Amino acid sequence: MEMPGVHPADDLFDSIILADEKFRGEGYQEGFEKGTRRGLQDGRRHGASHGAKLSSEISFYYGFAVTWKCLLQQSTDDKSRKRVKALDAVLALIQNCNLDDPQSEKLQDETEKLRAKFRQVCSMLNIPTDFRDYIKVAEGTSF
Amino acid sequence: MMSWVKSASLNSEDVFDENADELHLQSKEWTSNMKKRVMDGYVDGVDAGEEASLQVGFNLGFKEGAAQTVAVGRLRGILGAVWCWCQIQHPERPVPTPVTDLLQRVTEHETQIMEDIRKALENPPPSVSDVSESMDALDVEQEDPSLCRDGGSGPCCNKRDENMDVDNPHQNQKIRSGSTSCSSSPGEGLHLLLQCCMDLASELGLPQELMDHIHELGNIDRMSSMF
Amino acid sequence: MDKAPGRADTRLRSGCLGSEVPALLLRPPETAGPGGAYIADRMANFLLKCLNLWLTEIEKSVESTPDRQRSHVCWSSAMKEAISLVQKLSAHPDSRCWFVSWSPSGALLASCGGDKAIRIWGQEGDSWVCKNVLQDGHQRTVRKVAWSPCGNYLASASFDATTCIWKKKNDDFESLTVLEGHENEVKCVAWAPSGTLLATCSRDKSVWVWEVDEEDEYECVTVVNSHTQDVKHVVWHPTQELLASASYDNNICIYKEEDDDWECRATLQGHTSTVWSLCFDVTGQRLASCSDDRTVKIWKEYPSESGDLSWKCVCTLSGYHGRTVYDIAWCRLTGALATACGDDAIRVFREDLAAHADEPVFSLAAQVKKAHCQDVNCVAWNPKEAGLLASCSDDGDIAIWRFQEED
Repeated sequence: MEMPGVHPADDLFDSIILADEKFRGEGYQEGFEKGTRRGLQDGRRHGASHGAKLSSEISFYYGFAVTWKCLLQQSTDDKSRKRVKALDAVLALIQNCNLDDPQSEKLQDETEKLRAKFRQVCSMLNIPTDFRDYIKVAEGTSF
Repeated sequence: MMSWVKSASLNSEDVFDENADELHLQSKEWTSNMKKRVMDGYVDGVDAGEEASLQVGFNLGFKEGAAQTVAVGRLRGILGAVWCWCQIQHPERPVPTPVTDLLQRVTEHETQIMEDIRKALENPPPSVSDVSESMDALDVEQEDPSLCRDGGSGPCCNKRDENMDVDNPHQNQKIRSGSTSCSSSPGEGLHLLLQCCMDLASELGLPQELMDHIHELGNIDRMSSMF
Repeated sequence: MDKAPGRADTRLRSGCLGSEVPALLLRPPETAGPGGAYIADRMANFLLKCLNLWLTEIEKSVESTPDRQRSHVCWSSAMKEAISLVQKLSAHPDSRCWFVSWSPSGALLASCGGDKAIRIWGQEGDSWVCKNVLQDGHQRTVRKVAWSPCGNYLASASFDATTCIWKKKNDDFESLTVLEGHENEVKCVAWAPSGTLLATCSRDKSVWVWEVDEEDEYECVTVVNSHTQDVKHVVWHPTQELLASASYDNNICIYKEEDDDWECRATLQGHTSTVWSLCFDVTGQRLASCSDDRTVKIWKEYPSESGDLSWKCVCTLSGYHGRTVYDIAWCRLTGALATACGDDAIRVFREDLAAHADEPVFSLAAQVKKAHCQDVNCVAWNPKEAGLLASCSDDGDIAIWRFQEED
């Protein structure tokens, strides 16, 4: 940050303005540092809460999909094949969800796609409706 | 801040080279004016600084928070799938109690983690004047990643908790204390839950591949404590 | 900028994903410069605001200029009693009649309503009578019904979050299967022309596509979340496997299958309020939409280089409807466009065939101002008998009309 210093100036008015600017600027600098710290902390706390929530949801999908794949691996009928394919699609979408950058629009898109795919999988696996309700509550789909 | 104000009154002598009394009054007024300027600047600066860093903090916290729920979230997913599988295989009888119970415990464990994070959110720094304390915290935080680079799990885990909860001393009783006994208690460790899940899976005769996945979660949990 | 304490809290609380994203989290924050630069910034901001306000005013004044005055003159001078009532049926007494659908042969009309029932109407002699009542299929309002292209199946979408498939057996209908999966109210159901795909949409903002196999088994092949609000209507392209949906988010989405997955390939923006219904013309090259913004829009498909679908609004009919336009039907036989409106009226528009394809002109050919006692929810052209039109209303009635052009 570059601040105008008070130099010996002919114009008195200029000097006053410059001093005014200087003090304002120095206060600003200190305030800026303070604000930066506060912002970092506030942001960090909120970020942690949101990150934990989204990660919990996505991780749930992962565990769910991986487990069903294991459970279906013995069956070779057409229906199971289709189900495994859909489960693979869920896992592929999870790969795309990069939680390192919560600002990325891609993360939002991918999360939405993942949620949709998961619902399709639930339908294909005939997951009981009451369990689907449980999932909904657990994730708190308040996003 | 005061030092600038002093220097302001000194400087002012160069500017107003007139008679002494007048100078004194002028200087007083000048000082108070400049004080006000400094305050104005300060307030604007706080706003601007906050504005500029909020997102950075958010992104940082987001990653940290996300790491905390990976293992437990996956475990919940695994048990959720097993629960559904039991119900679909045998719709005529209820899902075995151990499955339902363990799912319940894992869900509670996860809720506890979220709750702790949320509490940290609800208890912001007590007052604005605690600058030095927050500053210390910030400095430690920034060095944090390098501290952890050597891969040690135990000390880093504690370090992270300290930093996260710097403003909430009562927050430090985190749940990652590890396994103690097999009886369930509030704040039981994830490792205990993982062990129970392994036992349950072998009892139900679930595929080895699934056991491997459960086992793997133990490693993920250790990794996540490195943040 | 708001300077109240704790503002960071309020701004961040709403979450980092989804519709309530705080603007701050999506854009890198701008750093305000200190001192003079700061003031200059504010000044510039203020000037920009003034400029924007002024521009908005200009836009408004342009929008409020009445358009299509010419069409008004057209219909008021030329219109005669072009629509005549054939019959009124108290279809869902003490309830609302939400929707009517003609069977592909045009011999049967299915209706559904707030009484949770579906009724099948057929002609006996000169009059239309109730042939069947399908009850106990749903726990709540039945919002829409749709016939399969072969005419042997009927699908019903209900606020109870399910879709029922009914199979026609001789002169009766039996419940074949119940499709579950939507989180809440199912708003619409539609069969693809092939008869092997079924689309449903819901207040849960999603559109589902189901595949039907030879054993009458239904399997969900996709769930798409392209809308940000309640999805009101789904309709299939008459010849291609292309699906369109209309939503409370004011948009229309068009979906196509790609690598086993259905994706939204075009979003049609233009309506300023809920889009209630959609209808393709007979060729599928154009799509008509109607909205809570009291307009009807005609969209045309254009070839695009990117391979993505490109649809443009080529015509807006405004100034005709006094309230929400709830439904629109494009007659496959005559090309006439009928609308159902919240002002209790039904209207029929004709296209001026002399106009350029890129700037089609539609004019009001006929209207019945008090077609029903309450909101008209639906209009449907009989697929075989040109000019035969069915409508239904919140008053619980079905009306059957005959539209005749007088040249």
